[in-house]
Amino acid sequence: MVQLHWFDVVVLAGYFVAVVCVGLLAQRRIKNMDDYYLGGRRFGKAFMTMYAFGAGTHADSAVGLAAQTYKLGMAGIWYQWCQIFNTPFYWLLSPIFRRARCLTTGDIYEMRYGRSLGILYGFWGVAINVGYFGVTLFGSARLIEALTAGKITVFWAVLLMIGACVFYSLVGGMIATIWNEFLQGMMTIVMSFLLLPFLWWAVGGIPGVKASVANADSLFRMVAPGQIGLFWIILVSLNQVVGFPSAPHIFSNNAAGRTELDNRIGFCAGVTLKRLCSIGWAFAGVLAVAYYGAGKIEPDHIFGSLIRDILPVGFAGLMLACIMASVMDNGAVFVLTSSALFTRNLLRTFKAEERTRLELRVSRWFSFLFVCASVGLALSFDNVPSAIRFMWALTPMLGIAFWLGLWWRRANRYGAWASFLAATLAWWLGINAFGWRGDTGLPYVMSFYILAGVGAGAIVSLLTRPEPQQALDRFFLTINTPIGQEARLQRFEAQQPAAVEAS
Amino acid sequence: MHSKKEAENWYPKLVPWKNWEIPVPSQEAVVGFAAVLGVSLALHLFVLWLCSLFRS
Repeated sequence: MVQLHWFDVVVLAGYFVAVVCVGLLAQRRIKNMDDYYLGGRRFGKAFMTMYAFGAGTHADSAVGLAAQTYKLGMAGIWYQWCQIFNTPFYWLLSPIFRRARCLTTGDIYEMRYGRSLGILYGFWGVAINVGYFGVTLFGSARLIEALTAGKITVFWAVLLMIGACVFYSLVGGMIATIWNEFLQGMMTIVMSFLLLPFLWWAVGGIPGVKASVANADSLFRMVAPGQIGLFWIILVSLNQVVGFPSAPHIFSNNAAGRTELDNRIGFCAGVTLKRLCSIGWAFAGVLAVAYYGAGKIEPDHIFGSLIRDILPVGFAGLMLACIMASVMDNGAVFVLTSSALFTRNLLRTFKAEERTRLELRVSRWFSFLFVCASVGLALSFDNVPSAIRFMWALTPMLGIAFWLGLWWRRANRYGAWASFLAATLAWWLGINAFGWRGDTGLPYVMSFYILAGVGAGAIVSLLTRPEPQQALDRFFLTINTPIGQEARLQRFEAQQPAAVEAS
Repeated sequence: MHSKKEAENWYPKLVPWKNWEIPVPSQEAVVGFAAVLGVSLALHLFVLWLCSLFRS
């Protein structure tokens, strides 16, 4: 077992006591579903930045990126860097989530396409979150495994992490999550860069790297021919833009702020902060080639091995606390957004106003089942980069329908279903029939399922009955009306004919 | 048809194409887009510069 200094034990214990206190304090502030799922929409720019950063940053991000840069050189940075040029588009899209005046992304699908798409998203959104949490658990467990030199295996590391996570999300809801994301975000930034000065000193800086690495020129190139080239970068970036609106936690990332500007700045700053930390993780991976030698360490273990071997004894314990805290925070976000989807979009039996207590109780039981499914998935992965590639394919399946519905009035529920089914089928065919696997096959499978989804969605929409005109007018007016200008919506409603066509 | 006519007047659209709903971005959207793009470019150039240090 890794040697923990007494101070590390104090830090670990202190952190958990603090988390429990935050959870209990936050619980007293939960009065309705808006408080539980969106923290009462009362957070400012700083909290929203750290929330977006923390929710999008997990141990698997660092582990997977360091693994790829250790294997492929700096070209591996695109595993996180692929969103660097997408961030401006996030700025444009962010207000829609708040203006929709909903509690979940599933509500937006329902508002645009009707009940069936709300239910479909309820299932698929939960599946996406199971995927996200499974990858997070697996990546974190691999890091703990490396930190403890294999004394704690992936299986036991996963079990260790979920106990605290379940407690955390069940007790405090989104208020506790966002409070702790702030602290957790600060810790993650520090830990991302802490390793570099020690590693820099250990390898002897630039002269040391050049002396110990024969292929420094190719190691520090931003593309890896045959694996991560321009086609790969463009397709993965496009895939992220297509998929990101349908990731369930993106909704609370963009709707829990006090104002539209708080959400916009918070989300984009959080995403950019993650890219900044990616630089530290990527350089840790490539400098490890100089420190250990190429191919000497299992790639997934690189980040943990560096922490264990390079940092002074006390820091390894601190990193352990950071990992645990990161999994708890991220797990809480996934659990909360999933339980929101389950109760809002699948459990229509309950009326929120009359049965809030019952709905909260049901959602908490659902959270427990959700965690069990995530653990099962986490234990089925082989390595972190392949787990990340698996995750990338989940969100675009419904993201295509989101974009079609956002810009094109003619897109309808039949087209949305067709795009989901066609994209999913294309994904399965690409991997299993055409053998497009790994980094080499990734851009091919992505282009195949995006084209299939867009094509099927457009063709089926054109061949079938459009959505009711009035429902479309209401949807587009709502997402184009900022919060605080509801008088405009009321004027619109007053102008409508009395009979509303059922959607 | 009445409701469509009213809804079309609520916000200006970027393109006049039939059935397309892309609103004209606000000043906040345009300035923010440019700022975020600038930061993204600066970060990317920073990484390219770091890599060039090791390759030179």
